Amino acid sequence: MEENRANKTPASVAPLFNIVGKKVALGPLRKDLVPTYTRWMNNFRTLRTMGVPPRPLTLGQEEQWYEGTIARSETSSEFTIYERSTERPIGNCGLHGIDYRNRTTEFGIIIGEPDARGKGYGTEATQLMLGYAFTALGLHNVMLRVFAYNPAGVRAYTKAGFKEFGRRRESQFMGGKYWDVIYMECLATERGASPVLAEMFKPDEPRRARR
Amino acid sequence: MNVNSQEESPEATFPVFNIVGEKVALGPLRKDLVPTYTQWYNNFYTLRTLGTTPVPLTVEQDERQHERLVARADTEISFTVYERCGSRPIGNVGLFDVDHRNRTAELGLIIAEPDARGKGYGTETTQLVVDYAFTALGLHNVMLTVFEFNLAGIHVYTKVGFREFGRRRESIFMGGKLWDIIYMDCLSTEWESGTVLAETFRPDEPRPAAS
Repeated sequence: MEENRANKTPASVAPLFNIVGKKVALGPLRKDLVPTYTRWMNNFRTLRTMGVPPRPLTLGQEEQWYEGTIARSETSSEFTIYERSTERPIGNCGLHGIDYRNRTTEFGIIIGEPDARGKGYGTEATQLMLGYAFTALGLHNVMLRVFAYNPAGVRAYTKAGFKEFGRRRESQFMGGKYWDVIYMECLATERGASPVLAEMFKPDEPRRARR
Repeated sequence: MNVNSQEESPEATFPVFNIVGEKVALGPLRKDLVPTYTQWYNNFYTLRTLGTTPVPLTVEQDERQHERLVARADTEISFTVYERCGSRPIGNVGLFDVDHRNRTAELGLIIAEPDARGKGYGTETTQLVVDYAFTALGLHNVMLTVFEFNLAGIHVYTKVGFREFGRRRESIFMGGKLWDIIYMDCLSTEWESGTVLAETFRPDEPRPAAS
């Protein structure tokens, strides 16, 4: 294990984590991971649930996405998702269109490593991100869009606390037909505090008076 | 009137129209109208229904906005709305996020001249643009968002044929509180085409055989 690590780029030796859950941890995007992100984004099976047209994506295009995302850091907050047990990057998740005046944002997630699916990683990452949006950023309404042909997504989001608020009919093309886009939301007032985030964002205890 | 027009740019004397209805006509955006647009988008009462943060907008900022819109012509299609009688510009309408693969777009409308409101201009403009989306562009689902407090807007969109498909709760700030955003959509299969676009987009009549 130690030998393997030595062969990797320095940044991958000890990944930075901002938020650590039970099964997953969330850290910043990493330039040295752009080839990994590119591999994920070239899997058409993965793109199916993302809504981007299935087209080959070059390393250069993904580098542009990386630079663009960093430049938009005022309105978006993008993370790398790690499997905690291996510290292996398995996907990305983020908040987009962050709007502090209206206290809204839109959530998006992708588990890019196929063998990391079906293990509850997406659910936990979603829960952590809701906690982050509400407890750390002070937002009030987080929405997301999920396609009607992605029941695994709907299940994970529902479990994490999202509720359907609408369906845009026949508006997403996949596999020869048009499917509904399901709109889901979660309000700060309808969700208990995330223990992980509440632990980080707490006021200091008052000091005890000296006797 | 003619004396005044001659002092303006030649373009302003003869506005170009793409789509001509009964009460309104739609033409391209115009650089020489940017000062007019800027005037519209500095009216905070007008901005109320647009959802943009009410901040002062300089002519230079609006020029950049104009350039950006023109540069994204493949996904953003914007028109100037004219009152037909007098050819006075009264607002803007557009289709945004035009997505030909999914056959979707989002509609945005603003009747900016206060004395042009309540005359059915918005209703006819919406009809023409939805018809344009379906008949001219081949789209299938046009959606829009309208704020809970914008009763005139909801009335117009419902009259034209939009149907509420969801409500994102407490997600737009106005006048001291958070209001719902209403999501509406309209499908090509549920839409009855008007005559204006059907007259433009029709096949040639077969020539009578020479006898």
